Amino acid sequence: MNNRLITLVTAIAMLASLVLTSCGGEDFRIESSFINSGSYAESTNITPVQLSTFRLDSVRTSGYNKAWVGRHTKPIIGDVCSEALVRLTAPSSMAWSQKEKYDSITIEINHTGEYQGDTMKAMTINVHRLAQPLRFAERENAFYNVRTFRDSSSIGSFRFRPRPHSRPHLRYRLDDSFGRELVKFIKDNNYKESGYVANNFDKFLGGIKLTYDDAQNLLAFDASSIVITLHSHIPLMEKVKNTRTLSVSNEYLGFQYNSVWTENTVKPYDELTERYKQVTEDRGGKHSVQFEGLGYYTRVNLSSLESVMSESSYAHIVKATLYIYPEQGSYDKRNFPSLLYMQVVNKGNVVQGDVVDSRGQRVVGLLHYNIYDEKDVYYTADLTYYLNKVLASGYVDKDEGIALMWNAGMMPSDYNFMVFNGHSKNKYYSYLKLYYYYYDKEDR
Amino acid sequence: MTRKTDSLIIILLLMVLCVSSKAQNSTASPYSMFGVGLPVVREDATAAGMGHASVALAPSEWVNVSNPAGLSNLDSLTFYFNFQMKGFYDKLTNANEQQSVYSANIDGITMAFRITKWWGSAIGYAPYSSVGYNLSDEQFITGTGERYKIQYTGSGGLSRAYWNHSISLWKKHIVLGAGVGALWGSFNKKETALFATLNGENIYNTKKYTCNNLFFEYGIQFNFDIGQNNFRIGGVFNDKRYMRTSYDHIVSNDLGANLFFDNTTAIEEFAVPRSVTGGIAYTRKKFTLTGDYKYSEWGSLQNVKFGENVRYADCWSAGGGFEYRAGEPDDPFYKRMRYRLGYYYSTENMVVHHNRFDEFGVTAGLTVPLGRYRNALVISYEHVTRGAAANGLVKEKLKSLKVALNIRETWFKKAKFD
Repeated sequence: MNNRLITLVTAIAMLASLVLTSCGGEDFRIESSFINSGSYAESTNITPVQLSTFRLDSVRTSGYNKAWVGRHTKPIIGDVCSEALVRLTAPSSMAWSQKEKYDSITIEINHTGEYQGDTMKAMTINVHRLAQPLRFAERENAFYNVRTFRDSSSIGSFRFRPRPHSRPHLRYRLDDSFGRELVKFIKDNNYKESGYVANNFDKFLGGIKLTYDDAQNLLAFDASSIVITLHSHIPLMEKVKNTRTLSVSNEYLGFQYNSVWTENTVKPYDELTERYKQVTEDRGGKHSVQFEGLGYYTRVNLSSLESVMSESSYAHIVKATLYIYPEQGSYDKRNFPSLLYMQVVNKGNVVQGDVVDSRGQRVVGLLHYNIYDEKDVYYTADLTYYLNKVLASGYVDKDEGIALMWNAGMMPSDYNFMVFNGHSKNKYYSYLKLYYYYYDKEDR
Repeated sequence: MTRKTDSLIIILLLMVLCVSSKAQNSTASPYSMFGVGLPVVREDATAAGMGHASVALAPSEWVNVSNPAGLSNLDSLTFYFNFQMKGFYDKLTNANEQQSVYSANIDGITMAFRITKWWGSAIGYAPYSSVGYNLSDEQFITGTGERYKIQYTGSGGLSRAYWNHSISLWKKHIVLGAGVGALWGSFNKKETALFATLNGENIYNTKKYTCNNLFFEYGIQFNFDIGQNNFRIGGVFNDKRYMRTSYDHIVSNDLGANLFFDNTTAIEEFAVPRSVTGGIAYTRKKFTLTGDYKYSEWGSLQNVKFGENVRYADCWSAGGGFEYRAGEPDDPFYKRMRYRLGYYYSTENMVVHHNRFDEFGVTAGLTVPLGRYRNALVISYEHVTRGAAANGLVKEKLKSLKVALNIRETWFKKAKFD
């Protein structure tokens, strides 16, 4: 072979082997003492937080599809009272024949099986007729005070005793005077164009309100199951039965509200008359309250953020977990909310936005339930991104807090009740756990 | 095309491919995480086969880059070109585990020629130090019983470009040498804290060092014959010289956010230590025996921050070997091969956890002529043991292979007749 070719081939072979050769193996596990790193990770096990309770001026309950009726004494805050309001629609054809005779009028409703309080006690439920039509609130994100619908008259009542694990379909007779008044409304408009009665039905019936007498419990009903049925017959050769149903259409489901208020409110929660007012955990018996049905929300103030900020000049938070401990016995174990949503609120408790993670997803507190220790039940939420973002801004707004929510929507209502343990409790207290990564700026 | 043109094309091709070849680590040693990395011996693959001893040699077939004074015997009509690469297989062992790593990289390029009868010159490139490690550890998160994983990776190193000159005096009985060079390069040391067990953010703590400075070294050789025996004594000296170093420190997380950035320039943190090397060589007919001793004052570099448990320390090394030349230049291929064997021992330039550790190796080499001309493929192999598997250290069993392409072309012959 040509000598120059030999040299060239040799040179190329050397370089090819160089290019093709690469490192093998994973990282080699070294003993810790070999390394002299100025960096380390540390956890501050218990970073204080401060819980407080604030109350929205009233509660948005529309579209919730649960009609809560009754009264129940809640620990710490007092008696919670609720009435349900719903708007009904008439069928498109309501014509009344000349020989047709009125029989009766009934209401049907499904109990969801949910309750709060003593299920062994019977409750009298009154059905009221609203004079004014029940309408959407104009402000979509506002909170509603539906107790303004007071102009009503009773059209019947029934007594109901709930049973555990039972979801009965209830059917009761309403006052005949209401039934006859409905027949008269139909007859009076019989001659008008087709659909007139249906289209103008809210002039007769603005909606119905379910109220209670002597209740010692709160019961939930399926709002969409409410049906009022007008029974009649036509006496021909044989008796021909006829029914007309007033029901909650999907269109009107949004017109369903619960009116919730408190009576005999325990101090200091009676002070929560405005949204910006708060009952801090030191005044609230080392607790905060979460009862969205009444507009009570827990606010978490990260009171130690300023000291965290000073640490952050040479350390970075790699994990920040908020631990929220419920007070044992304050919650209904059968209906334990598994998620806890979080929203940033300002000094006046006005929602500023969701607490989000690095992917822009809402931060959710996850339920941890220790089956061996009922006290060891808590929610954890990852606040790493939120905290690092606050710290990176270089300014800690001491008036900013985090409001806890059961639901992902904008402040819907929920009748889950829970008391959270403040940080000042001796055991099972809420806290923030931080993991720092310290890097030595001088170490080279 | 002439042979000269062909050779030039090969040389240029090699240089271009060198530049464009994939950058790979020249070491996998955990000890390269300290300072500027592990020092790389600058030498021809021929010397590597003789226990890295070559300070007293002045060969005419290859370029001695270990001593600027070692260029006195270069052929006046010949252009020398050397391209060499190094591959290694490193087996790491400590009390926890074993692992093997292999890689290859360019080990040097040299060009040399005689300018006058008494003046030889060589210009070249070689790595000065190498950083290349991929380590991991698990540490406790202070204040908890939880652990997190840390990965330590390093890459890069310093390079050296040099221009050596030798001046022969008194019929080459005394040769003085001097070299000027540039040291430059950068290396990264990255610490990745993985908080997967917490489902937390990962942190990347990266430090990049960029160093440069000029570098000077001086050499001398004495050459005398007693009968058929040739003796040479050589020495090389370089003084301590700090390097201009800039330092970038970036701490970031896996969300891409820069948590900390520091840029410092003109810090004189790393340095080339004062070193002195002495050697002796004996040649008789086809047989050459040589030995070197080197002392380096790494311990004087007290300002280098390694942490509490690691510091530089003065170190020495001694090595020696012999070469056997089977035939003469005009003999057939197989008789023109050369064989080498050597051994060396050195103490490392650092003390880790109060432990001095050492390195020793057996070397062997072979020169394979390429065709009828004077080009040759030089192969040297060494088996090195470094460190210890106890006291938190790492023991390395390194098998490395250097392959050099030595091209010698007659470029400077002038035709007397047309």
